[in-house]
Amino acid sequence: MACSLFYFSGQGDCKAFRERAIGVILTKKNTVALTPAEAAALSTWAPIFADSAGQDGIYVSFARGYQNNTTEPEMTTSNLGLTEKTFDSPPLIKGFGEMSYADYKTFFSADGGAYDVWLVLNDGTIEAYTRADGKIQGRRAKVFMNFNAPSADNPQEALPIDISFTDVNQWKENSVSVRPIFTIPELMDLVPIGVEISVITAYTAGTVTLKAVKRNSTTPETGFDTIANWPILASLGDPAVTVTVVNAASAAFGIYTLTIKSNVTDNLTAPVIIRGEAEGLVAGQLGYVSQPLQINP
Amino acid sequence: MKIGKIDFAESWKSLSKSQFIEAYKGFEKDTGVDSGAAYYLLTGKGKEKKEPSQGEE
Repeated sequence: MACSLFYFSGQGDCKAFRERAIGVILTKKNTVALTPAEAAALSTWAPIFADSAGQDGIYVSFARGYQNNTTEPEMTTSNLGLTEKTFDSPPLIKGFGEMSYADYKTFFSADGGAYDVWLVLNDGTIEAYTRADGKIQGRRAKVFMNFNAPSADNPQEALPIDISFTDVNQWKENSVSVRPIFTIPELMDLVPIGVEISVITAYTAGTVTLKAVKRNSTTPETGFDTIANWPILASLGDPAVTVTVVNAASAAFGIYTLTIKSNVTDNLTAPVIIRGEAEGLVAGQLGYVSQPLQINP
Repeated sequence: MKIGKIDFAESWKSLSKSQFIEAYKGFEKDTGVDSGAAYYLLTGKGKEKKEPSQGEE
């Protein structure tokens, strides 16, 4: 440890409380670094949440509950009675996701991963830290999901997300609070609407039939009717895998028959991971996005 | 590249005519367009021999 120079810096007249956290913005590790002015503008977050070329983040609401479970600082008492702080633990928070279980499951693959976490407070303030280059970034944290049976008594706390910050130093003097010029519901509206896709006829002779509905509902998703709506996210074996045909004759029911080939004409021999997505009201920005789905040949 | 409600990828342009006809077999019924006309529509190659009759069986 080293000591810092402390300057007495006065006190403001406003004694308002520090607000509770109501949600977080999760961004990919070391991907989103902004100036404070950029972080305060809604137009900055739109492409981060919904760029059709790739999403780098999402807002997660903890309106159903938030806990600060940080371990108290370690205090050690010497054999002469002197008590001193000997260790600061990085913060550990638990938020209860304001989402359906269908939404929650889409976060399962984030379990144990490291992300940059921008804390969002009840008055709309966004907390982050200032990097060495002067830009601000979400604090680094590991995210943990809960693989558990349904809650017996408190449904609001059924979908916990534990966020374990990894470096307490990102909570010290370089901590920064940004007061955006937008409200949090406006931020939430930038997140694409979730769609759930499922296989209704397995992949046979090059084609697979999928059903797409608005997540956690039976409302058909009718806008996935072109090749561009069905990006291949990964191929687990075959080279040059593409969707070569989308038959949208039953799009009104959310049913699409896709022809998926390797090297244009060969049937798949290994699984691929696909998803459905479509632009919303803003060109170039996703308004609808499904979970990734594995198609097995 | 759409014929009716069927969207075909750009990669169809890279197929030879024989490959195209073989791959297109299963779509004739859905599009209502025969392989010769579809080959012209989707690849821009060859001479259109017949007006496409979209939606017709």
